[in-house]
Amino acid sequence: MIDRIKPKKADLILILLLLAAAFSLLLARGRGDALTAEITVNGVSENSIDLRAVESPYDITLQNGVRLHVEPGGISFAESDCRGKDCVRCGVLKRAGQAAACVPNQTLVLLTGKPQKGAPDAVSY
Amino acid sequence: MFRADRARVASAAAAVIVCIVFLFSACGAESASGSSFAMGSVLTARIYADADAAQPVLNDIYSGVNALDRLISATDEQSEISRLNASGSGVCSEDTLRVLSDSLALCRALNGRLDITLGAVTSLWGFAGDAPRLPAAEEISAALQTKGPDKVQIKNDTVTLGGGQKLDPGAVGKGAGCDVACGVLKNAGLPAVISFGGTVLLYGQKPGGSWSVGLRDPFGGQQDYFATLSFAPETGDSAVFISTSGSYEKTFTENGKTYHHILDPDTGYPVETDLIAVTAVGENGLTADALSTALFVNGLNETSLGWINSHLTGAAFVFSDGRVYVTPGLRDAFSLTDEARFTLTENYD
Repeated sequence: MIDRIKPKKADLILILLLLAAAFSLLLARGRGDALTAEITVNGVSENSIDLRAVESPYDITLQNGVRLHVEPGGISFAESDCRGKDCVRCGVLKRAGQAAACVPNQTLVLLTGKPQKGAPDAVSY
Repeated sequence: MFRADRARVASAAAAVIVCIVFLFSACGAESASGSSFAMGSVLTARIYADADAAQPVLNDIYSGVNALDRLISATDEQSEISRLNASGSGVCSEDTLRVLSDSLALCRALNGRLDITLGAVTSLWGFAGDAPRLPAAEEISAALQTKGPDKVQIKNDTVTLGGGQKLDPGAVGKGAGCDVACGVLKNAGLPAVISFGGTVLLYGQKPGGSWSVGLRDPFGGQQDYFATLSFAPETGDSAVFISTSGSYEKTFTENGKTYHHILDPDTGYPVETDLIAVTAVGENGLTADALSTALFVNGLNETSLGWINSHLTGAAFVFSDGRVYVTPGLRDAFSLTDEARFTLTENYD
């Protein structure tokens, strides 16, 4: 004979708390985990920015004059004194694994983190 | 009884969390990524292994590609190619000879629509540097006289160029670099995706799914894409190389006219075409890189389709009006993601 379980109020609260925690975890995972912009100049780490934690846009001007634009979930080259401006034309980096660089100024931005579901592994250009 | 029941309920609820964590962990295989400058561009790698296993492989890839760059760079004055360009003759290493031999063979097979002996012309334009310019017509005309793959002689390890001739392996360099990376990955036996200045190498089988590569939106930013190519290799040591040539890269504007970097070997000027990009897919990096340029120069026609059948898995041609032609060998892998601005076409006349 199986006893019927009659959960009490405390049990229900515990279940709700655990389910809420599970749901929060699910949402966090759904956002693709951490997305970090690793910025290096001449091979030396200059800055590391958690793009998930960025709430409003701002700019960073590096010592070599390169200006980076940081926004929620993205980063881009806003300005550089190089002639070609290929770095500025790279657009906004938003996915883990993407990289952009200003070769004349030896400035590199790489996004690290778990690949986002549905995003391509790379872009051929 | 109460304690036991609560424990059972709590265990059941906790199991929900454990399952979710396990599920997501199972979906995302462990991988490590890194990035480095090479050949005047950026090489980005994601290797599917833990960091301890991936780091030495990343180091080997970077050092191997940079070693090749030091040999074949046309802008590094100390490279074998630069010294050859300066002196007209010289002894070259095995790696340089292999790149030269393979490239020259392709130049001949592609009727000169790819020409690595066009260095005297490309150096006038200066697209590889930071100050490109519009050369005088007389300069271009004189420099064009030096070109010709058949003027290059390779005897044993000695290379001799024609009079005034200069080599520029820029159209094959990143592909050759991807071949070096492929060799490192093959030795390590690790699946990986390499992106080298827009040329992509997919090595092995992607854990938990198929590889996907975006094709750059010619009207958008460098990381925007209008279509994807999907690959699910059947063997763990397969390699797929994807190379794209487009007139949106390396441009400058002078007197109101924009000039791009893909030169017509016949005229010495940027190719005038209704194409805006060509993507070539094959099993060899140097070949895919060379063909993307040659196909852009030659346009979409029977000759180009013959080259694709001989050298590649397939290719995609993108026209400036948004039409896209995909060759049969690539149609199953191809998906248009922006159907508002791009349309597939079956016509190539």
